[in-house]
Formats: sequence, structure tokens, C-alpha cells
Amino acid sequence: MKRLLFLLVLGSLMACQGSSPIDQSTNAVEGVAFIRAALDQAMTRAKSENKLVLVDVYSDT
Amino acid sequence: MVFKDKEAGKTINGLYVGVKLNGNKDKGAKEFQKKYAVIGYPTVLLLKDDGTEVDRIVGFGGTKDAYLQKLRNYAAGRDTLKSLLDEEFVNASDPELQYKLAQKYVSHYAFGKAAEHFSRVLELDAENKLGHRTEAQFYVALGKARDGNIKELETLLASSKDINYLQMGSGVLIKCYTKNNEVDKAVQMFDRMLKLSPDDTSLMNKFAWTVYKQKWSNQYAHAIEIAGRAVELDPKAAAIWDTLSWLYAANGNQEKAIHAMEHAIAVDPNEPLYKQGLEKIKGGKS
Repeated sequence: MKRLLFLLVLGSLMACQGSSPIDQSTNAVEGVAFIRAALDQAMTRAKSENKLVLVDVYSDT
Repeated sequence: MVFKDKEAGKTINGLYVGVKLNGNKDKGAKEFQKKYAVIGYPTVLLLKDDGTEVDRIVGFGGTKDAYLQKLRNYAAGRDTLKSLLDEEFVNASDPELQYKLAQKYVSHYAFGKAAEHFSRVLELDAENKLGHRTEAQFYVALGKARDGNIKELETLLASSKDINYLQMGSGVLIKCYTKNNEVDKAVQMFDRMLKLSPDDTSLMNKFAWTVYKQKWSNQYAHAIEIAGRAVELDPKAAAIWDTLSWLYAANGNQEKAIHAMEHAIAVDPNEPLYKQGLEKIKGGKS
């Protein structure tokens, strides 16, 4: 039981570490992989991958 | 939606890091929009990794292929606002370059900036060798009208037969006339546009709703006639039934107002405003 709990906690910690702020609701499986509202992260990634940043400013109202 | 398309995903993911920003909700969105002068939704901004704007795409429109080609060009530094501004830095007296900049700003709906560059086109190509005079004059007049000086635009539209210029220009003039409570001029402009586009139910609704909202009571009968024609052309347009209902109510015909609002509810039963409207009208409100 103790070992099972440990594995569950470890598993959830690993899941948190690996998680990205990609918005699944707007990130279609085969479409553009958008990061949700994380401009600094996008700038850093763009620099390391030698890309530009595309910011889709939208409204849901 | 192009961003959910497989081919678009492949192209865009290869060239850009995509970010979604909800302009009304996300943290930092307001500051971002102020910094980059975002004037409407959707706006797609293309930035360098230091935050410098390369270009932007405002609104929807265009085919998927054209959209992707534009993004490929921008990623390669071709035809961008930034490249044109860099070129202007060394070649400001080239009228064709000024024209390209003006057009770029028009595509961004930045009409003030567009007017500045169209003014330069008129100065630099006074003999109209490039053939941009009519377009440049229109946007310069439009820019002035947006600042409240409408004379030039009025003169230009009085003789214009170009439907695009008339549609854009009339919208600005109607807004000015409405603001100044120049009812006759506003109605004349609406009527002129409706003659040119007699089946444009959206324009009909705009006219009728303006009359209702502005309480132009001497135009209620005219507006009821126009809105009535609009729902004949498009009986599924709940918003126009709603307009018609409020106009009837304002004109003292409660029975017809209720009947029209019931139509709006029948067409769009999920819109709570129509149900609330019906209750208000039944309660004697107009």
C-alpha cells in the first residue's frame, strides 16, 4: 500500500514536471501547436529554434 | 479555421512558435494590446524573439493558401511592414514605396497611418503617373473624416460611383451625422446606400436600429417599412425581427411589437434578450 501511494505521488509529480501550458482546447491534434498566454516562453523558444512568434489575439465574447 | 488545418499546422509550426492570447481574459493581454496597438479581433501579430513586430494580419478573410503564403513570406522577411519601413528609412521619396506602406496600413485597418502615406503619394506623384490618385484622395479624405473633418469626404462621395468607397465612406459619414444629430443627412446617406444595395438586409437593420436607438421619431414609419422589407427578404433573421419589434413599440403599436418579438423568439429561442424584450413590451416599455 505504501509503495502504491509512493508510486502514485511520484507519477503525479512527474506528470506535473512534464506538463506544458499548451491549451488543449485550442490545440488541434493536427493543427497549429499553440502555447496559451505564455509570451516569454514563446520568445525563448523562438530564439532557440530560430523562429518567429505568432501571437493570435482573439476574443470569445 | 486555418489554425486547425493539418497543412497549416505543418507550415506554421515549422516557421513560428504559436501563442494564443485571449484579449479579454488572459493575464497581461491588456498591456500587450496597448503596446502593439491591437485595435480589433482577431489580430495575428508576428514578432521577432526580441518582441519587434514584423507584421500583422487583422481580421479573417482570404483563402487558406493565400494566408499560408503570406505567413511564409513574412517568415522569410518578404513584403513585411518592417521591411517596408526599413526601406522607407533610406528611400522615403519613392511614391510607390509610400503607396505600398499605405496599402499595408489599410490591410491593418490603421486608417490614420494609411492616410499619412497616401498624402505622401499625392505629394510625390502629383502628375499621377502611377495611377493611385483616386485611391489616395479617398483614404486621405477618410482619414480627415475620422478626425471629424468631413467636408472632403462628402465632396468626394457625392460624385463617386465606386461601391467600395461608398460603403466605407458612408459608414464614417453616417457616424458623424448621427453624432451631430444631423438626421436628414444620415437618412439620405442610408437611402443612397440602400438604393445601391437593395437586398442588403444587414444595412437595412443598421438603418432601422439607428433610427430606434437615436429616437428619430419622424423616421419611425420609414424604418418600420425598411425593417419589414428586411424580414421579408430574410425571415430567419431574429435580430431584424427584434429591431422591428422595438420600432413598433416606440411607434405606439404594442400588438405588432409583440407579434414581431414572438417571431424573433421563434427563430432564436435560445436568445434570452428576446424573451426579456417581450416581457418589457408587454409591460408597456418601448
